[in-house]
Amino acid sequence: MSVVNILKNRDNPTRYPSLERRDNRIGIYFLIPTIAVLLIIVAYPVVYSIVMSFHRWRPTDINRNFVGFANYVRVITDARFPQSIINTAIYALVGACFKVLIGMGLALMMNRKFVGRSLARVLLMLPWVIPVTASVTAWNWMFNGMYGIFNVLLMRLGVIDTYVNFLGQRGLALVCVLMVGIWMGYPQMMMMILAGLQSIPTEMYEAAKVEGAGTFTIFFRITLPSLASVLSMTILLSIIWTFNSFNVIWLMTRGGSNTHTMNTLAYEFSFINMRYDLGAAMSVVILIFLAVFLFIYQRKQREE
Amino acid sequence: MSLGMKKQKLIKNIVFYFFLVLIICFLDFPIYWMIKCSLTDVDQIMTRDVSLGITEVDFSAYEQVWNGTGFASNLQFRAYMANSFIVVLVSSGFSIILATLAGYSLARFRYKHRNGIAQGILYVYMFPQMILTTPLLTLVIKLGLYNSLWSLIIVYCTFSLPYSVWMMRSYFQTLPKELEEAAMVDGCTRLGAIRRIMMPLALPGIVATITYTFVLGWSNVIYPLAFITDESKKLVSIGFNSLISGDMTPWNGVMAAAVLSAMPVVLVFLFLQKYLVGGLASGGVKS
Repeated sequence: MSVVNILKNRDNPTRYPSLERRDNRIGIYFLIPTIAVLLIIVAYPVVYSIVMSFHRWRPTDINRNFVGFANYVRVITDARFPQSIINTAIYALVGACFKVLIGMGLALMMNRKFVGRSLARVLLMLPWVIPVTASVTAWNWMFNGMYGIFNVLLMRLGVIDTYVNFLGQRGLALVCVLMVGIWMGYPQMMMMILAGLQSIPTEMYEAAKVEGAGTFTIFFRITLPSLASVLSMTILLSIIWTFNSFNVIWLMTRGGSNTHTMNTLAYEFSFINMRYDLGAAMSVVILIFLAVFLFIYQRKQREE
Repeated sequence: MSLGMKKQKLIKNIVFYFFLVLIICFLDFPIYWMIKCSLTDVDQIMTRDVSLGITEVDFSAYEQVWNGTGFASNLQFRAYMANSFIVVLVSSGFSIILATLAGYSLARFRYKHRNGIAQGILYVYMFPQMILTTPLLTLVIKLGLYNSLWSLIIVYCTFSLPYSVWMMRSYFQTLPKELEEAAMVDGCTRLGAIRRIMMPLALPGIVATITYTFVLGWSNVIYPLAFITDESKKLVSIGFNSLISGDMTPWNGVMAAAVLSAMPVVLVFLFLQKYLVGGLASGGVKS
């Protein structure tokens, strides 16, 4: 071996294979506790759910026969099933769209330096920080059909002439639930997009200004393209989170007035109807939908 | 700068602040309304003749909720508060310890399937909680932990652990490798380098992650709803729901309970939000 080659190899870690390998074994030890905990509290329950979905399984009954796809058939033929898919789609897509748009607008505002910026940021983050039960209770009170402030205000403005039961009417209830979901979800999008904005080098803006570019040109030619990868990830994450959300709808309508999504329907099967088997089948259906999203997410990441 | 430009800039600023204040008022109105109603006397709240401003400041609703008297005589609000603190702090703390180790490992060591494992952990965070609830409930019952705070402490790790691992991994990736390498050249062992060099540097990331999991845990609904029926073991996120009962609901009391339940998490956020911003900037989105 020539001297040159030895010198070249000096910084090559494979020169100490045993040491390197021992070092990496420490790394695996670090990982083991996390993997073990996640296997017990996440992987095991998922497998359990899948097994459950093929059996007759009720908390009140020890008879647990294998029933094949009967639970799935029962879930899919349930009258509320198609509506729950449509609602989930509306809720996830429209909700995510608005969350990202509002988040984007606010992030652009917050990306400027101005007096009182951190106060403004805290105030804009509040809808996300306040516990869901607290804020949903406030919204429920505001939507109240007897004394709610929305009814009072709309009446005073002359928009309505009788009090409206916002959460009791089909269509209208979904709009209300969607509104609250967006209100709760935009701060997270704002923070993510803001983080993305702050990673764009200021030199690019300065150069564009020197060239005489206007605000719109800068936005469409620099900001948006630089943000593309962050934005696509943000949108997908937002869709998945909105897709999974259960709290808002359950606390506002309990799935009534045609507002069931797949997750609230699964909860109703399991804990209201006490049919764990149907709830499990519904959960597996949700998981299949989610797998499609995750597949897209992974492909997206591989492209980058 | 010419006078015209100065004037233009001033107008621009005024327009900016005008819209900012307008937007904030609009978006924070529900929170304002919650506070306003909590300070209203019970006779004044069930009326259509309301004014938008705060017309009276009456703390009696807070007093009754906090002491469990009057309309809140079935409530054990202080117990809910303590329970929430125990569950959220213990599960967040447990998660961050495991996650710091795992995050460091995924960011620094090289072994097979490293990226696959990291990706898998992120996917776990995206799982709907619904699919885990029933199996976890049967598991909890089998272990004899139904109606015990331990059940929630364990179960809250299903979301706080994967999230913490992901955050800590991203955070460690932003820290320069050279520092620990230098320490190791100077005779530190790998573990020594981690303890003396990396942990102090990772502190902002740890604080950001705990803040985030605290907020997530504090407002979780589905698990306390499914695992706890014992009144004295309830968490604050669902505890005051029993006050709501149709037309008889004491709305000022409900709003007071809601404000009280939000107080700890808002305070935590106020003190630690600057870490949260930095933490998110370093790794919340980037893979």
